[in-house]
Amino acid sequence: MDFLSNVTLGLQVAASPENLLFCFLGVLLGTLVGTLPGIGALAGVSLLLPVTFYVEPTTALVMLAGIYYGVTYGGSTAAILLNLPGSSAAAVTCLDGYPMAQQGRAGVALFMTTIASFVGGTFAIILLMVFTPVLARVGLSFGPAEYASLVVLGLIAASTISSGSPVRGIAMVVLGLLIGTVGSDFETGRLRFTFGYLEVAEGISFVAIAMGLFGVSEVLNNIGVANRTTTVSKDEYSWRKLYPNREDWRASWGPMWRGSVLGSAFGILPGTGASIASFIAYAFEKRWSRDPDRFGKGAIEGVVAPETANNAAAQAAFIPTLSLGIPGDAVMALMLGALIIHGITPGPQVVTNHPELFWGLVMSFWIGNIFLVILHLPLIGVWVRILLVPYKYLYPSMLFFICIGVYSVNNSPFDVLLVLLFGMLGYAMLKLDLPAAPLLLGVVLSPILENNLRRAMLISSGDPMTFVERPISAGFLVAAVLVLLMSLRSFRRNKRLADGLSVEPD
Amino acid sequence: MQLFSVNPLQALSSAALFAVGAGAAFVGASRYGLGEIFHLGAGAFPFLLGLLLMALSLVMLVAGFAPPPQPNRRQWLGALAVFCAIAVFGLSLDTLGLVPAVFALVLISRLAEPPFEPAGTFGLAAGLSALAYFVFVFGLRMPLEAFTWP
Amino acid sequence: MKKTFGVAVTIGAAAFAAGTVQAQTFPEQRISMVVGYSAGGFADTVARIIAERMSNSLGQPVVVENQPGAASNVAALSVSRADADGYTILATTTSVAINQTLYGSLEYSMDDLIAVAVPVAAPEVLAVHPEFPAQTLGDFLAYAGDNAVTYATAGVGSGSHIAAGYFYSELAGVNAIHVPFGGGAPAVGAVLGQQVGATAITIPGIASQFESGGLNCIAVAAPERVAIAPDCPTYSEAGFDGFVAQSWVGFFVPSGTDAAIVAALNAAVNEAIVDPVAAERLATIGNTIQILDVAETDAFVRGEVSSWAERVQALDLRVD
Repeated sequence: MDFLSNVTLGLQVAASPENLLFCFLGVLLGTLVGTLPGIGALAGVSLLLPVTFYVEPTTALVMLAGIYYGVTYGGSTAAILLNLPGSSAAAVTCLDGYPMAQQGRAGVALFMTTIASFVGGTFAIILLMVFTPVLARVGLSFGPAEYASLVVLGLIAASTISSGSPVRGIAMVVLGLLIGTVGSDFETGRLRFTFGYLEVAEGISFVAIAMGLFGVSEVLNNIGVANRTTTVSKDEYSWRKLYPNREDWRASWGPMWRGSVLGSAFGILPGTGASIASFIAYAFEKRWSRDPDRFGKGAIEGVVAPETANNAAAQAAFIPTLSLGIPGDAVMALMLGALIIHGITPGPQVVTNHPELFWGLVMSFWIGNIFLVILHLPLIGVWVRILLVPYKYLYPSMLFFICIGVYSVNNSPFDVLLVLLFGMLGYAMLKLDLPAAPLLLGVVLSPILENNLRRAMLISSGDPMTFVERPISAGFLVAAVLVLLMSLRSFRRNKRLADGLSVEPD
Repeated sequence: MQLFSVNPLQALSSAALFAVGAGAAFVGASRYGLGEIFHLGAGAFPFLLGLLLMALSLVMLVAGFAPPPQPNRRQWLGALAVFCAIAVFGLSLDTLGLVPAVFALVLISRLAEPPFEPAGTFGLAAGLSALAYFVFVFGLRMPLEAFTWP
Repeated sequence: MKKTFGVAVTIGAAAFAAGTVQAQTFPEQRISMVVGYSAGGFADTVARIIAERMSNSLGQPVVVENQPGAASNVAALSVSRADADGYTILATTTSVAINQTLYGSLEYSMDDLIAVAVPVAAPEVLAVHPEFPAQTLGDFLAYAGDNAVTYATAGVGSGSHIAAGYFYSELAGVNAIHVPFGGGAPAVGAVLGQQVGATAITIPGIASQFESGGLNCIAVAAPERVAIAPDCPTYSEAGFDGFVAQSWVGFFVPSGTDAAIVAALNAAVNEAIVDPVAAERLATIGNTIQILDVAETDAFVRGEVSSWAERVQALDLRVD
């Protein structure tokens, strides 16, 4: 068994001064880019791509990968502090992270997300080391029918994560799915619901929707509120208050463990898994919890679980990319492009023909994760001070970061006007008590659901039984039905309790 | 007895969702084409979603959920200022340049929270402009210019 | 953001003189290379390799900007409307030729663009899983006659889709079900996982699977066999004489650009691509490097537009 010699080889490669330096540069840039809401990994990776022409391919990949998972780490900062999510995963972190910040517990939330990210990343790295070839095969056994059913499960789970009735959650999921159909149809190229605007031919920018629904609506909600002095005073930002207490730790170990497993499991599915993972992890914790009512009001588990899952998924996403040459998203594709530039054909043979590259990269993930913890922990004290900025200066700055972040995705001023539209929608939804997070996941998963549904029907010659005849697909659908029934039942129970005894039994 | 005491806000949101669903289902079926069962057309998915949304909006209405009461605040002017600020930013980014756009965004949005405080506001606008230039244009190489006008 | 100092100069000077002055000193400022696809795609990778080397040879930065949308139509439209001064270059693919026929209403045409260079091309192939019951093109067509065979492509309206669809329905006369995916990688994944019977794809997207034996090539749409899959027969060998289809990456500038500037850009692109390292790396994944001058490039692109037009019309495909 040459597993140990592979690990040793990987450590030697990853710990070379040059690779250490570029790994640090990668995670540093990833952190910076990720902290700016809306600026995604793609911006950082494409910025540094020319640099990679001049260094060894392993070094190049170490750096690009560092940006990739560094961004995932950094994404939670603006979500927790300012309710500004740059990705669908960060939107889940907003649900409890932002209430925690408003209660003066931003430091604890940021601290625990850092630890959670590290745990999730580490778990997925171990998985990556031991099981890569096997897991990649498992990913391939997912056909269109399995993807479609998995998405249904993810959407049902998402509809239960907000407080209140699951019916409202499902309605928002469906509305999100509809918004996600805007743009050209994948099979006929036909433009749908674009109202003549070519700017949305490729769909509405996700960042514009997320920033509008969460960031802009939050600013609007706080405008003109009399006596809106923060509930926290300066002395609450003492260093001791920033760190989690024993209670926080005890509440977090379970979600971290479960989030790692869920995130790693979903992460190996190219493209789809990472967005679903944090929603499912959150929904799972809420269902698991003895006191689900705390969720959405600043529960630490609601921050830890999705963040662990998110980072585990980011790390696990390298499994299909490295072992099959199938990139899960544009950033992964860009990394494979960097390999091509260096004359290495990405694909199954990379692991065997270039062990120094594969194992060096995997071991660099670990080093990078340690760098990220070292980078993030001291910064927490700095970040929470953002909340001490008077609101009259904070909200124009938030609007500025929202606008420039949204613009940067497609270099499109049109998207800035879209964020305005979704800000209005988000504000209306806030007033009508309609949850925004399920809508967001609906938008992200809409093309995945529709396209795989239609592909599955093409492949099965129009037999809808394909979804229940294929065992994995059937399993997801059964799970979706169970989740739905359970949440309806607990909602009714709660509603009865809330309405007192005046409601007739059903 | 509960059936007819529908909350007006709930009625509003149900009506809006019903209208969106009906519109999507109609356009999906009539203009984009439903296709056949083995070869679903571009309109099939929006059609199904539209029907589902219509049904859900009715369930919401009948089930009688009441949104929690909202404190009545005078914030329409503030909201208007924020909307205008974003719109002017989007429209002036390419025509006037990054720095004028940031100034417009900050100055207009500051109207939402009086008092205006000129010194602090201009300072903030200048600071954010500098940040925008160094981080986004110089650092991240976004294709923007500080001034395109005059 | 596209207003340039060059414009001011042109307006001030006499029209004839301006062209020559511009050409002699070109380039005086940074050049934008507008890629019609997201970062990470094949066109983007080639554009970045070339932009990097052009920056060195021209002495001005060549900056890649991604403007994805509507199979590169968004980028093509914006470049066709840019100043014709050589400082805005479109980087796109075969799609720009296909779109001329595929799209019912385009707000630009090929007359609004001048082809600068088409330095990289790669043939289309048909590939199956090693466990698939048919391992030659003949067997595949016979199998397709008796069974519902599915094939995955990178998407509707892609060169792979149109070439394969044309081959099945017009040349071979069999019924094969097209299953479009969002890009070449998931299409390869679908055939690797045996979700579909075959994939029709451009060689670079599948080269590594041929090397590792994960998938088998059963036909290549090139005049001759290709080095990356030497055992794979051409369609001509399999009895479909002269069926050739390839995807390429090309560079365009707005029409009206000074001929001397076009020639300078053509030389710069060609110089960048023959760089031994770049050429070798692109060739290892199955690309052909083609060095054409401006006139040859123009003829090549015209030929492509008309040959894709024939196939698109035969399939009766249309996007509105």
